[in-house]
Amino acid sequence: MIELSSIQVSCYDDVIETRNKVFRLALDLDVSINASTRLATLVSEVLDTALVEVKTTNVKFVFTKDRGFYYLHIYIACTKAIYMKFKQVSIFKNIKFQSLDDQKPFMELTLRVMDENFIPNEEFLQEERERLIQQSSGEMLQEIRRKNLDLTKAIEDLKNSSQTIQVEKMRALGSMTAGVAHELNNPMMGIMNFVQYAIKHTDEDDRKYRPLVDAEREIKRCQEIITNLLTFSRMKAEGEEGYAQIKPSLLFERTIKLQSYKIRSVDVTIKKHFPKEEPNMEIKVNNVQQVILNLVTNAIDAMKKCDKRELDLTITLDEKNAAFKVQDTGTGMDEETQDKIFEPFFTTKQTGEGTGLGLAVSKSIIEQHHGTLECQSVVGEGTSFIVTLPIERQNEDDGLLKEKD
Amino acid sequence: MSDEEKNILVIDDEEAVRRSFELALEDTDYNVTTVDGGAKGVQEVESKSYQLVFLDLKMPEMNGVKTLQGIRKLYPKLPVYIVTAFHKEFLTELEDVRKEGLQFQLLRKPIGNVEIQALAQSVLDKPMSFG
Repeated sequence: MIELSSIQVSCYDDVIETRNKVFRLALDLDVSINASTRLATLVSEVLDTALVEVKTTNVKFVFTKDRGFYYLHIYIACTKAIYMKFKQVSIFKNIKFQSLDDQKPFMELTLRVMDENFIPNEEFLQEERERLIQQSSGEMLQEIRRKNLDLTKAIEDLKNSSQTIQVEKMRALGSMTAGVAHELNNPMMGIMNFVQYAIKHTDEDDRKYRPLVDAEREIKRCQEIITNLLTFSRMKAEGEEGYAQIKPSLLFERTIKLQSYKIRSVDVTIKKHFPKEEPNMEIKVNNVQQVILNLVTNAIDAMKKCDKRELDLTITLDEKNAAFKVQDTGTGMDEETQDKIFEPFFTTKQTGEGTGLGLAVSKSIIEQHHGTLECQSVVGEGTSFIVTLPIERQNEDDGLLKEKD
Repeated sequence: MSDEEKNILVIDDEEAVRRSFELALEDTDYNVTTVDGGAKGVQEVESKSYQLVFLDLKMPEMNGVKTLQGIRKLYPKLPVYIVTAFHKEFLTELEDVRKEGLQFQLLRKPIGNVEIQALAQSVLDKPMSFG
């Protein structure tokens, strides 16, 4: 870039006179009449803004030339505040502010006109093309970044709102379920007692006897479902009662004993990984036992049709928590299924084999204990469920307060 | 004491539940009276000597908690079994009653024939005194 010529004016000079000076200077430098006129017009616009809006004093014009273009750099002495104001009102975007130690602070505004006598060569055109591409791709890149940010935020919002919807859905379902279960309880108690009365007064060799016994069994099944529903909807079946001390591994051992028939008939190999020493934990033993039993039963069911049938039961302890891992080599679940397993009434089992309440109830029980229930699964490899429970009993009231939020 | 009449009162607004108690205790020596509301229940306790009360928690007008308070004013130690499906809201109310020092037992609904009989026997067929 070659510096060609410069002039200095002050704000007291007449704008028209300054404009003319710049015009003559441009003509002297072989800038075409058209381009010179345009430059002069732009200069008067700059000065109008600078003088009227910003009330600045010193202005210096410097012409430079770089191949196909003439540049007119306008230096206007000003403070940072004035620069900011100028930038706000000015139609020119190519402005910089500089504040150097040995000079007064100033802003630099650059105007550009084409040298009409310049015959562009291939190299120039190529550079110009690249410059334009860079400029536009820079803008595009910025646009993409901005859009990307918007999108990330939109996804985040969506995630949050779908979580809220899920929570609301469960809450609504919970209270509906509780209402229905509660209303069913009284008639169920009636039916059970009526049938039991009829059984008591029927001879065993009476042909009505067997159907009555069958009816009683089925009523009890219904009641079990109602009890599960009520547990699920957090009507604490045992209130504050039911807490007891137990060694973690005993929960697994009892479950194995309870399911020994099923384990033998499906031919499952069980591997136990229990710590040698374990503390007592204080939990609602019956409820947590129900959770472990449920997870082990599910695991065995998942392996029924598999060649490899191994069940790994692992307990790991740290200072605060005990973690129970139930790992099977069953069919596994895809992500879509995994998303739904904790929803009440979701089941992959045949009608009659599962109510779809087991995991919903389990999760609710574990959450009452301030614990977590997690699932990891790979299709074709198997599934792990991990129950993490605090070893010390947690304050029940805290849980109730959180529920109300 | 065992030669005296033994009276059981069932307070429940649900006919199915009242009938359940009646049928379960039909073959016993106990006299079973049933009423369908709390106010009637308190009246009944006042008018006759009862040795055992089964009380529903969720009733219109006078609920189980209020009824219990009414009964306790008359007989602080008469055995009262609150029959409930354990609804959390009611349990909180019951906690308050317990803090007042009122005695009661909880019985989980639904209960069957055999359990009702066994429970009545365990409460009534042993020597006891009410203040």
